[in-house]
Amino acid sequence: MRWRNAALGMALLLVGCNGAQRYDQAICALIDVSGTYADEKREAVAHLKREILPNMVPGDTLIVIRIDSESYEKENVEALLTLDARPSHANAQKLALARRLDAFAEGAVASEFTDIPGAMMLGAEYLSEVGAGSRVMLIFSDMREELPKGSLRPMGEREFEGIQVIAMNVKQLTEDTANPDVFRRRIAAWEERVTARGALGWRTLMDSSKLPDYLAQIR
Amino acid sequence: MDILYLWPDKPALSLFVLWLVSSVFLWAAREPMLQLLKGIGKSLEDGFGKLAERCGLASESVRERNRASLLAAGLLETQSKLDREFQRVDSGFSEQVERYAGLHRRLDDLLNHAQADYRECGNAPPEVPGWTSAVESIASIPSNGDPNVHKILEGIRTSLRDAEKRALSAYRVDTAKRHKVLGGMLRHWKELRNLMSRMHESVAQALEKTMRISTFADDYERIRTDQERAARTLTYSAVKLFCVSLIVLTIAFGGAFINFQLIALPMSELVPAGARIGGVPVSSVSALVIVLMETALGFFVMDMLGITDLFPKLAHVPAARRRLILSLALGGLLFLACVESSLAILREQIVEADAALKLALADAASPVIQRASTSQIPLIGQAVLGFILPWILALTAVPLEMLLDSGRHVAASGAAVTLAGLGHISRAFAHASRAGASASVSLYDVYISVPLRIERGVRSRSVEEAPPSRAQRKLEVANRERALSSGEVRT
Repeated sequence: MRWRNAALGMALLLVGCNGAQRYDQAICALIDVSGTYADEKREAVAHLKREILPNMVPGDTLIVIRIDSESYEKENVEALLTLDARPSHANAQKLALARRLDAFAEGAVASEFTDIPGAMMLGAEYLSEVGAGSRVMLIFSDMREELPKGSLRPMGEREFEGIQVIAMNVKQLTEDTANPDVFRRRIAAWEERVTARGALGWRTLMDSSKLPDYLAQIR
Repeated sequence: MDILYLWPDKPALSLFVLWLVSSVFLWAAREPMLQLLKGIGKSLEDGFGKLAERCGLASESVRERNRASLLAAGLLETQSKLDREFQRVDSGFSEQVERYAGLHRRLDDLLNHAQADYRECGNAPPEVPGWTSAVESIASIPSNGDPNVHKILEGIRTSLRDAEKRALSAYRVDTAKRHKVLGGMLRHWKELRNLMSRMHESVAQALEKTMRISTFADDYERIRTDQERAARTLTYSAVKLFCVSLIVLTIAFGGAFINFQLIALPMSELVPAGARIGGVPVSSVSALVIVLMETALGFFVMDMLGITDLFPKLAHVPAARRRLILSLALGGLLFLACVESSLAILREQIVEADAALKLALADAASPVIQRASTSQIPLIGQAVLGFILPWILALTAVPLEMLLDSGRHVAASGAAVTLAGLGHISRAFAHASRAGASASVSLYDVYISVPLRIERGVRSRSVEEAPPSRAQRKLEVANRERALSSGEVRT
């Protein structure tokens, strides 16, 4: 009986130590290739390579999804990678992913419409499937939604549950420059929309060099 | 404050009414209130007094126990030193006695050799007394022209010269032989001198040991006789040991931290890098475990070498098993040192790979340093550090034992001082409680001074108006009689 109690105690201790908490991070980067933001694709890839890839640790996941006219499609997933537990293998994986991202940046893909919600829904599904300790969605876009006729994107009530959404490098359009309030209202509307669907938070970042620290903070 | 006002627009009136009502109420409750205040003061005074007494007793008890423990520890230490010295003397004496027979035999041999050589030096063929001068006299006789005599005399002269030459040659040979023998003796003398100097060293060592034993015996005697002074000395010694061991352990902790940092990164190649235990990466936990294992092995090594006594049970293990445990611990330390050394090299490779990755991922515009240096010195330095640090960590057993031993006495001394301080503070609180109770009684009377004054006025008037009682009348008569007898009435 005493041995059984001791074994039970040890098991509880181990479970308590190891815990159900996960410390890995899954990052889903949505890159807009439509209209005015198509020129920013290379810049977005450079941000990914410079600020995110080097700071990812073994066990972390990176998903890159293209935002185009019909974003809610599996073909829009440009890259999906979970880093190996060994740092040397993880480095090799990072290099391979960087080459794929370079190819994506060089590719001449452009779309007429901007299906941001579709890409976000697809990204949320992938993030939820990975089930990492912290989940982040990065959106490289001008944040102006343009859906093709007939497309519906009804988001679930808890669509972005447990996800931190960051709008990166949001490009200001001509009307935004003319009236900054238009830009601010658009961003505020997205914030309200995202947080209403269970997102942990919403943030806009203009300077990508702050991203590594922020990602480390929410890890 | 506003809540206290009966009429918020008239604060002065409200406060006056409040004071009036409260002073009347407190005047009415004066007796029980004074009793209550005095009771509280008395209880606090008694409580703090008791606490002070208990603290003083506890402090004295702890101090006494610590003193006894210090003396016992001092006696034990001196005894163990004496035992160790006696053991050394015993083993040294046995060894010296064993060697003495050989030394004696060697000395005898050398002396015999020297004696024989001396004798041999003295062996010289005796010369026939007067023979040479007789032959010389005969040879110098004039021949007087007789050819036969001349021939005979010439023959004698020739043989005399030959004999002289032979004698000189024999003398030279003898002298050379003596020199050779004397040269042989020189070696024996040198050996004798070496033996004598070794004997002198042995005697000096024995004398030194005797002096040390004498010092320990004096210490032992001093501890037994002059306990107060010994306790003071031992307390000072314990505090000094505590401070020194604490400093050394802090430095060792710094070394352990460097050691940990050296292997934490490369450990991520050996264990799952993403996994965590309680929020800490498994690689860090593994590195920490390796550092702690090195320290633990160091404990065993030091114990088996007889330097520390952290595991008293191991002291009774037979010598063969002690040697086995020592070998295992040393082997383990060597293995871990090699592992650390290789991990340190791996660390450098990982750092270089990370730098290369950052370079590959960086934009052309980003200022990334290509390579800091091509020198192999950092790599060699890390490898050597990784090999050396485990052995240094193994030595922490010594200051740790010192810290544990001395920390007990220092903690007890600290507890005694704290308890004594607490006792003093309690005594001060007891005094303050008594003074406070008296002051609160006076303040109470000050607060209700108006109704009190009225009460006293009413009482005195009622006393004046009331007819004198029988006792008062008796007192007045007695006073008058006393005044008459002393003549006050006349004056």
